[in-house]
Amino acid sequence: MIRLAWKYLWASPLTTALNLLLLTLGLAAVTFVLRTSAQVEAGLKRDLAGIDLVVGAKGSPMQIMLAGVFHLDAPTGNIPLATLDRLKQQPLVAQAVPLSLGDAFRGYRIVGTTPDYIELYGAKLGQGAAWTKPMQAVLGAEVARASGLKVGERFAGSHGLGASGGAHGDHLFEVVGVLAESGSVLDRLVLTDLASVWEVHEEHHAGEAHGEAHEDADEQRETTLILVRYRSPLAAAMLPRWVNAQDGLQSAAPALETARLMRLVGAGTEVLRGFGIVLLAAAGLSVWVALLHAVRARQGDLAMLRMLGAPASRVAALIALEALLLAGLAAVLGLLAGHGLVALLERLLAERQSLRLGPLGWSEAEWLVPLLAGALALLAAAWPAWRAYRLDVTTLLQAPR
Amino acid sequence: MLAWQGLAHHYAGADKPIRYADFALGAGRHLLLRGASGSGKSTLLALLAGLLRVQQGELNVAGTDLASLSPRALDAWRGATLGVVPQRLHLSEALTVAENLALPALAAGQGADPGRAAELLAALDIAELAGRRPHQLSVGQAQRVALARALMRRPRLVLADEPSANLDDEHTLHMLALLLDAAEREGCTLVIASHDARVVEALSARDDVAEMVL
Repeated sequence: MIRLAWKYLWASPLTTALNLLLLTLGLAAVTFVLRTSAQVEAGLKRDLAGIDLVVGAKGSPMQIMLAGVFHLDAPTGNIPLATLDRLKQQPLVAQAVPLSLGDAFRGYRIVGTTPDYIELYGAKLGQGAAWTKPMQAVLGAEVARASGLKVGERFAGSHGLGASGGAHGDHLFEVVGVLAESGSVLDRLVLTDLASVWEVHEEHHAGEAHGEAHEDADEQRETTLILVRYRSPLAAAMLPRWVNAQDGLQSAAPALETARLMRLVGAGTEVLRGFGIVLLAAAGLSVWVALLHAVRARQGDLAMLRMLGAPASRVAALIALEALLLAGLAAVLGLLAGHGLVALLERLLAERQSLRLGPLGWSEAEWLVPLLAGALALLAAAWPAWRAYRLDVTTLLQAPR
Repeated sequence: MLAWQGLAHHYAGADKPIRYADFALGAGRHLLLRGASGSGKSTLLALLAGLLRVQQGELNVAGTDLASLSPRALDAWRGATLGVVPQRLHLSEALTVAENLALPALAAGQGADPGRAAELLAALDIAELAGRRPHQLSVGQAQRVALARALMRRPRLVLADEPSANLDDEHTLHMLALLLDAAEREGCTLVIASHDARVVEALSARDDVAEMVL
């Protein structure tokens, strides 16, 4: 029966190809939405890494979260390094990790921090060791791969967070370690000691035309952001309020900001999902029309099958099987096309050194795609199959075809 | 082989039922059903094939009382007992000749029997056509394929509805010869419904053909 249904399906190759294309496009769009939603969510969750609060200079909490957790946006400014000590002294704080931003290497951000930052993500060193003094750097796995730098080699950072800033040619970093791939934001960062950033920038600013001096540098040390982990849930109610009350400080709760971000991104996702559903509805309608036409065109064949002893239910099942075969093929092609689109997006994001979608694979929600295709096929085939079931064999076998 | 008593069929909306005179056909004989359009030939064929339920009277075909069978059992009985050569042949254009011959088995939910198909195609001198599609066949070749399809499951009864429709004299005689040869070779009974004078003339002369005028 399957072979027969397959033969009948391709008896009208143009119609079948068109229906297949429509169904495939719809299912590919749904796959893409399901896949990217799941991957973006997983990616965000992975990069959050238990960070409860990000503290930065007064400004947009969303910007602080994007800059501090995902390294996607520019930070809102710098804050006094003394803030780190004040935070550490808070009984509600379990851990506080400073991040000093300002430079980049070939577009990858150079982050002045402490080895706690690596521990926060549970990342491991693939080669070498962590830094022990200023101007030593540990490269993220992607940075090492893209730059080809190895332990022992030196490089110069450039000013600013993009790839086009002026080079700090007189301050060379020495690569002392390379992180093993963790799939987190660390893969695309260059980590170094906090003091490295001060060293480069104090020199940089001293050399600038305005010549502003930093005589009491130790007191005026700054950092850009501080990542905080709470000691107890109570901190969620107390600590942001305390931070925001401090002069020049702004807190951002990544969980809240990420949820807000997902709501914003969600609008786009809804549009794409809606587009996929419209495509699927059009495909379902097209399959329905094609099957109705097929039942009419093949009335003689179907009547003959009844004449040869096929029960009405078997003839109806033949029509449903045709639709299911089409849907099955479209589901396979749709999943492949959807995954292809995700891979393409992943490549584009990698080129832009932006958020990663995480490893390619099969997400649980994707089982919906073949189920959706099957349900749509059965819905489209229901009426034509009923027509086939109710076929008047006696009349048809006498009528001219 | 065939017998009915008090058989009648009343279509919904019709003024009166179609009534058939009592009849019995012994084994080894064939039946020619004659009658003009609207005389009830096609209705009788549909009753014999179990496509219409027996509403009134008794109908026994190949030893089975058709009134006693459920619709599902009638389908199975039809597939196992009956071969049909319809007026318009109804060969599927989507399938090759060999695939068309596999339809009777598929209709019954069984696997194809390529050996039987090859045997019939050889017996009907069309072995070389197995891979062709119906539109690539001549009228005569298509008739042979339709006959081969009717014989695939070794039926005890073959119904042929207006087998000479749209055929010239030569093809009409050829078709009749094919049917009679096949019936003799396969040991089955033919029921031929026709109002074609050429068919009547050719079959009336035979001792093994009973004639019924409706």
